[in-house]
Amino acid sequence: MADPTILIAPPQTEVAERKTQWLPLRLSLAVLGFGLALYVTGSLTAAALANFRIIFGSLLLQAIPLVMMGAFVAALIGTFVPASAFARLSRLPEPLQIPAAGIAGFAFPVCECGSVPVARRLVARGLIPSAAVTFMLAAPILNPIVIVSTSIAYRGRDIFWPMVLGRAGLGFVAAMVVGWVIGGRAREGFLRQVANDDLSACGSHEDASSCNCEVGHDCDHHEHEPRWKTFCGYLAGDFAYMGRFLIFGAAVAAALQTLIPQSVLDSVANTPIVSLVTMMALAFALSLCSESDAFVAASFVQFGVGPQLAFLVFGPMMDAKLAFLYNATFSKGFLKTVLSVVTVVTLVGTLWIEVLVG
Amino acid sequence: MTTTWSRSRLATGFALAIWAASFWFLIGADRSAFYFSSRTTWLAPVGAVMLTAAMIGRFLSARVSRPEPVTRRQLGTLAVLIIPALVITAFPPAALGSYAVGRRTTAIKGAYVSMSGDLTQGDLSLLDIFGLSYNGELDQLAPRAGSTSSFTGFVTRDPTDGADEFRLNRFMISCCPGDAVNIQLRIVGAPPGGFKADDWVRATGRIYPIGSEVIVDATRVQRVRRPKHPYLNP
Repeated sequence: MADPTILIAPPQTEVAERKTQWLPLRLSLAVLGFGLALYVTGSLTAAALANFRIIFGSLLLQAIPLVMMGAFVAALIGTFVPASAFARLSRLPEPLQIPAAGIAGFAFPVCECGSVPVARRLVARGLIPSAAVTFMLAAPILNPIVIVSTSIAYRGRDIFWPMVLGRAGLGFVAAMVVGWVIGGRAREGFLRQVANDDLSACGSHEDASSCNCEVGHDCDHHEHEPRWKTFCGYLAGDFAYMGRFLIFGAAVAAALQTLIPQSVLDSVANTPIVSLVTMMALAFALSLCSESDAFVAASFVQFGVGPQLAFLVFGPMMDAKLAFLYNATFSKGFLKTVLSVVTVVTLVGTLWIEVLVG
Repeated sequence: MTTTWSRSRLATGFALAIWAASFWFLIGADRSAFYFSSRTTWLAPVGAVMLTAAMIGRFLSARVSRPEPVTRRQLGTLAVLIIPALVITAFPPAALGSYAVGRRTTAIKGAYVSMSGDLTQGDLSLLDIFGLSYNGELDQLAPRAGSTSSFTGFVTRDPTDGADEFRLNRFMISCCPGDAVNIQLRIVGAPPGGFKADDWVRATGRIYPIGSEVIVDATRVQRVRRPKHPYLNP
């Protein structure tokens, strides 16, 4: 097994960490400023506020139970599945590691925030970077909780199967392609060193007690606790961490549906490539959890299969919060590689599905 | 070994408690229909139970050997987490209304499979009409032209409507009001000035499918209370 100490580049992540930590506050301030501007311009009527409150509340109430279900399963894995279970992948022949890692995404229901520290742990444990990255990108889309939530969001619609199967299939393909592109990279220097209090390295949790990181940073800030306490820490930490992004995403979606005239959304939705890029940009900005993003995507009924799929495939692999996490976790250039490959694969794939489904 | 309460964990437990209470409140006050469709209403009890379990676990594990103070960042996160739950529960339940009619698209893509069943007899529903309209099959209503049906919805007015006309609307949701789609009928022959926007009414009259819309020549329009389930579910 590789020595973790040689895998880690010198610390250069303080700025990225701070950006990650303050992102929700900045976003909240931006929302408040936006609301103030609307109030000043007279767009913020009682009817508009009521409309916003209804849509915002409904999106949140649908998503939070699913986030908790995902957090519950992830907490079980984090607490009771040893890291050695993941490391078994590294014993496979290298060409098989990428597809095996992608398929492993079905079995391990971690969302995109949780999959980054898992991937980090896998690389440090000796898995080739391409396989670890494939798992990191595939798991948030292929895991059972996400498939169930997508099914619930699109149940009863005539695009049900294209959305559920298209999301899983395209997500798997995109993760594999990124894995192959990353393939040539050496393990040495692939990871950046992470500071002790970095949330992303601690399984994305608020509480230090819930961290089960084993390599990459000193864990002297953690006390050893019974497993049930660790489990509770994971559960509460995931709720706190994902909840704020979910709240922001639901707020933006509700604001868009409340304030933007339908004629504008309709015209964007009817322009083929623009509609795809718009929904990908929206997914990037909203940074929704993959366990709940289907409800937001489904609310954009003006958009066809392609743009809604683009939202659901692109978002879990590349969004604003992930950009910070990737930058803080992996070496220079990784973010650009993932961004460019995922963008191209999502565009081509969703266009193809749009043509196929009609 | 002496232990102390972790303020950080208690704070997270408090946020979980607020959300758990919100879900229980929705169920207890019978407000689920304002946020969930019949297909997703099971999420409310699931959310309530899971959040309650997580809250209990967090409180039970809040005794620690070293102090864990609440940081300013955690306080900010808590505020962001708690405020929406308070907003949802503090305000009286509301349903999408005339404001949303003007904001929600009518250009639905990949929407819903047809809800229309046997249309030759029995009462017509708004879902039947939506199913036919969505599939471009309103001409199937031709044999029913002149027959009497009743529909319940809320009032909006279009600038082109005459004094004795209004639009009767009802939103259909698949999972939640976030994906609401409006179903609209044009009511003619109503008492002029009798109804204002967002009034809930039950209109009875003879239906006539004309072009891409359905017109109801009203024989009776009565104001009704907002239904317990304001949205239709496919």
